[in-house]
Amino acid sequence: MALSRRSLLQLAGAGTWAGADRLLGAFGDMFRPASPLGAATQVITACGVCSPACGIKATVENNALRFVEGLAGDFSGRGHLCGKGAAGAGFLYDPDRLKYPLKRTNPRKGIDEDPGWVRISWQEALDTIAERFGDALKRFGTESLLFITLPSPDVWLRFMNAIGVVNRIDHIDECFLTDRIIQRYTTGFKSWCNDFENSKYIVLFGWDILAKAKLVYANGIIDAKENGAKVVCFNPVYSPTARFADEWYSIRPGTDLAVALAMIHVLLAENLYNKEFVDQYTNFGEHENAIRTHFAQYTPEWAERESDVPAEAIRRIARELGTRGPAIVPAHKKTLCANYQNASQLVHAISILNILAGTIDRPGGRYVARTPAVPSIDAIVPPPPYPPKQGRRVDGKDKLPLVLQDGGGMFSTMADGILNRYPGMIKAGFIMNYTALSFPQPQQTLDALATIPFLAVMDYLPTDTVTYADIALPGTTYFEVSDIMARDYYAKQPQFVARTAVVPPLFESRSPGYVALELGKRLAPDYFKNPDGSWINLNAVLDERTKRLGLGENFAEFRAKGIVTREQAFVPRTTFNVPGTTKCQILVPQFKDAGGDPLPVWRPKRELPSAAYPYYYLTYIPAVHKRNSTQNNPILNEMLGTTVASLNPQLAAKLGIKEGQRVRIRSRAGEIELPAHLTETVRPDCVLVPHGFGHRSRLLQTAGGKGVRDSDVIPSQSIQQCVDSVNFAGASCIMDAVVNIEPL
Amino acid sequence: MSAEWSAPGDLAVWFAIAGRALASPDAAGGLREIAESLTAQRKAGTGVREELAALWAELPADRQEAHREYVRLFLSPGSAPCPLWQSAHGEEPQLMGPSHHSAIEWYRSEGIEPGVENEPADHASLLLVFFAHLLESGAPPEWRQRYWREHLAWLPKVLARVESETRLPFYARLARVTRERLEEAGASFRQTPA
Amino acid sequence: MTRYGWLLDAKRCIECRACESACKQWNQVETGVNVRFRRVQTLESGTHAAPTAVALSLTCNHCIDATCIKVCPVKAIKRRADGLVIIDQDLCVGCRLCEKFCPYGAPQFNEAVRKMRKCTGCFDRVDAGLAPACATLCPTGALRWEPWEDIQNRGTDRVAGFSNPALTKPAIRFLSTTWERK
Repeated sequence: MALSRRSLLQLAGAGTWAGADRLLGAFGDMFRPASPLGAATQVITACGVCSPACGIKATVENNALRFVEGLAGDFSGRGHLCGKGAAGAGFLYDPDRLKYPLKRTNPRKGIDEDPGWVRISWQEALDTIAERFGDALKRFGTESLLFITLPSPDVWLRFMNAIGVVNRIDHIDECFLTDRIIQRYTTGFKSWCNDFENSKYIVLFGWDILAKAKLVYANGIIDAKENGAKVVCFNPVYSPTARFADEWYSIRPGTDLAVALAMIHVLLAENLYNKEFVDQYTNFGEHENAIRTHFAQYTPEWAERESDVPAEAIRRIARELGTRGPAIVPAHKKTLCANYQNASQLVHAISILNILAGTIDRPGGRYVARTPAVPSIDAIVPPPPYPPKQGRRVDGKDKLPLVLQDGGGMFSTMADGILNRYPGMIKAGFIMNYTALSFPQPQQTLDALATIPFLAVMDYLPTDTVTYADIALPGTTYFEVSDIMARDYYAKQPQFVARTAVVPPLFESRSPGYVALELGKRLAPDYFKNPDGSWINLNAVLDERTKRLGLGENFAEFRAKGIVTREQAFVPRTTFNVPGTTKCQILVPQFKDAGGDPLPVWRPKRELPSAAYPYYYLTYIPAVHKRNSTQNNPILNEMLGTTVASLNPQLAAKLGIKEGQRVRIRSRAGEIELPAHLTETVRPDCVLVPHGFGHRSRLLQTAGGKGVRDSDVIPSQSIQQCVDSVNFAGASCIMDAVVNIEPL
Repeated sequence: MSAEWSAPGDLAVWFAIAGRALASPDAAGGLREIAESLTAQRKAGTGVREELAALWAELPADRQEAHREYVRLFLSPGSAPCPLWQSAHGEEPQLMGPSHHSAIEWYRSEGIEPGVENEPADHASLLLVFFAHLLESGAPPEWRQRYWREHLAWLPKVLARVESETRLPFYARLARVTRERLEEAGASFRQTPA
Repeated sequence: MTRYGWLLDAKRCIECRACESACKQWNQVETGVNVRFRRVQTLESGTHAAPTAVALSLTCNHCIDATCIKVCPVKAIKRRADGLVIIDQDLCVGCRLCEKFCPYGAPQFNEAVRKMRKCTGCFDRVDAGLAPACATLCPTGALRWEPWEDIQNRGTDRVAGFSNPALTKPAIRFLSTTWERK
């Protein structure tokens, strides 16, 4: 590693290489005179593996990234990076990266089909996409377009709004859709800021907060411990967090809701809730009788029968929560907001626990991020009015009013929509940075994608969805783009970190912003012009965002600083942005209006053990990977490159399974075969499989063909099933499966 | 190896042309003219001129065919095991690895750097053209040997794979002849006292 | 020159493997494929009703009384003045004796170069006044690299599953592996 440098060679004749009679002169475009030698430099940027976006100090030399480490003073990483972030160069320099736009010449689509790629120019790629999308719009209307993408960057969302897209679908039903909806109506803000360092009592339902390795949370909860907090953990697996907790209960899968309801019951029955907060800042008073009556039925004894958590423990934990000092019941994304069919009710119950604890925007609890939002492009260059969104929703979200209002989701119902409810409706699709592994029953999703006549896929790696593309576009990694990161995981004071491109985009990779602008110019030019008629310039927009936030005259000035933290006192809020009120809501009338439960009702998970499928299927995301997007990183793949099914030795003995023996795990949705690993950490009626493996694309030389797809076993759902089961906030049931296990 | 090939000038011409042909999907097309002027300028021997003529004879009439084959062999994400970046074949498969940085130091020693800054410097095309330059400019044998060891020793095996993978006689011949010349060069270094 | 050593506070380990990634990143030439100088291992025991587990991030311990130095037939393994034990790649012949005698599995045979490689203590970083890459990146302070004088009496010299330190006197100390329960 070059802190020491080899001495440069000095040969006679150096400098005369370009003469007409010299060989290199004939190939002038391959080489050019050497620019002055720069030393290695350090650049501040921000990680892009997961959303806290930890600050990075990157060492760059010869236009190449050499090393990454953390950024001092950064709220997210606190000067550090996790294993994924530290392996960042493995993403940037993955040899399998898509490098140039490619066009398919083999019309047959399938995971084993060779697409017959031809390299084309960006111009041709964009013209083709615009032509096919424009044609679909004209002949079949806006409902015929399917965008499988997050709504960011905002210029990309602007493009989709400008052409009237109604079928924008993202994975958020597998993530925090349910949480976002529930929080909107209970506390009015995103629940990601947790003041762990001041908490004295922390109850964790399912969330392996340490081993998910979001450093802001891992360090936060370790701080809490050091400051005297008690931590209680409910999880059918003895996870690293369970190890860390003061008390751990091996809870029956999908029954966290019962325990949460019973804890609310105790807090109300014994009046251990924070009266001062609840009376002043919530709608408890207006609905007190209804609320007390409702929770009276959910006794700890009842909850014990549902959950296997002793009633005495539930009662004591609830009392401790009410009397030990600032308490918090945090939740984040998939765990626990998307796993089971009763997630809407569970997230609501958890919100109520936090409200009753009186720690909403108070020390030790969940608080509103004080970092202002980055001004959107629509605020900087106001667009003409967007066309109204009209058309059939292929994922069925129009049947769930709160999900429709939210605008996100739904992966779990998409394939059913494309194949069964509206076959043939989708004429053109665009997939941005998603693989089929993200979906329950991935093969069903791939079959659905194969029915779309024209598919464009943008990614930085050639995943399974890329192999179905008619046009593949090479995307950038986070090291090749610039942006402003507003801290919203730990933000008692505002903090911004500059994400700076540390190297120019490799080969011909481009950012989604570029694609948005270029397609916008072709399909919706009126939405992409400045007032003076010139095209919107994204660098100018970034400069303006910087200026409006007071971070500098332009982005270059901000990037030179790299990180800006504003000192300001934390003033607890006395009003909350809940629709229709300024108070937190325990009973939520809007849920009832939308066909849901105004107070959380006990509902079981979707799949319960039966004779055919007697065991619970559990999945997890290993600390060294992020969902299904990091398995091809050679560094991370070496640490964990494939899948095993973890079983309790007791269960293994019963089924005649030995360590390392291959087993078949089968549900009503599908089956997988993989080796078994015996461990006491898993509940004896469960099997645990990691998510993210089983990449089928052979174009991924490291991850391709390794491991199995956990989601092959997880049933997808129809929107009607969501309605019927009162899954009103659109949880994807992404872990809701029961299985049969047999040795092979 | 025929006597005419043993002159460094002839080898240099071949490696320069081969390197250029491997640089991009359409590079093969425009090379003939460049090759003809180069061989004329240097009064290249019959051996290399005949070999080049045999190569052009294999060029498919349909340029799209050559383009598609190049993309399939070298650019198609992972479908053929022939990436042309040295780092992709290193101990840790990646781009911009240590050989990228080492190649840049070599180029700088001659006062040059790659024409584009956002692609790895250790692409076989650049490495071959630079080797041709070293041969032509009379670099001392120990430097040529060192460069061969550090930046070309990996290539013959990859070219052998190209030869067996490709469906086009043009790339098969290009790969075979380049591989043979590289292996001969390597062997000659081992015979010459350093 | 100050001698340093590892201080492992395993209860803070979140198994994120930043230490492994950092080592691979910094030493990318030396580590090679499927050779990892630093590895995080989880040791489990007990039953589901009463389980325990500890995560240990371990590498070469640059032992004060290193056996590898003694058994190397070509004297390729040397100790620097600051205690770091280095395998000289020019002298190593890949006989694998050091691998046999190391209680911690530190030296590993690298197939590509057919020599033994192991943690170098990131001596190039140390010479520049920095800590080894692993300790620099550990996000929770589970893994620290401290002056041996400051830590040699802290915590204990061993944990369950760790080879008897009396054999080679590894420069590593362990703080308690579990939190106090409330």
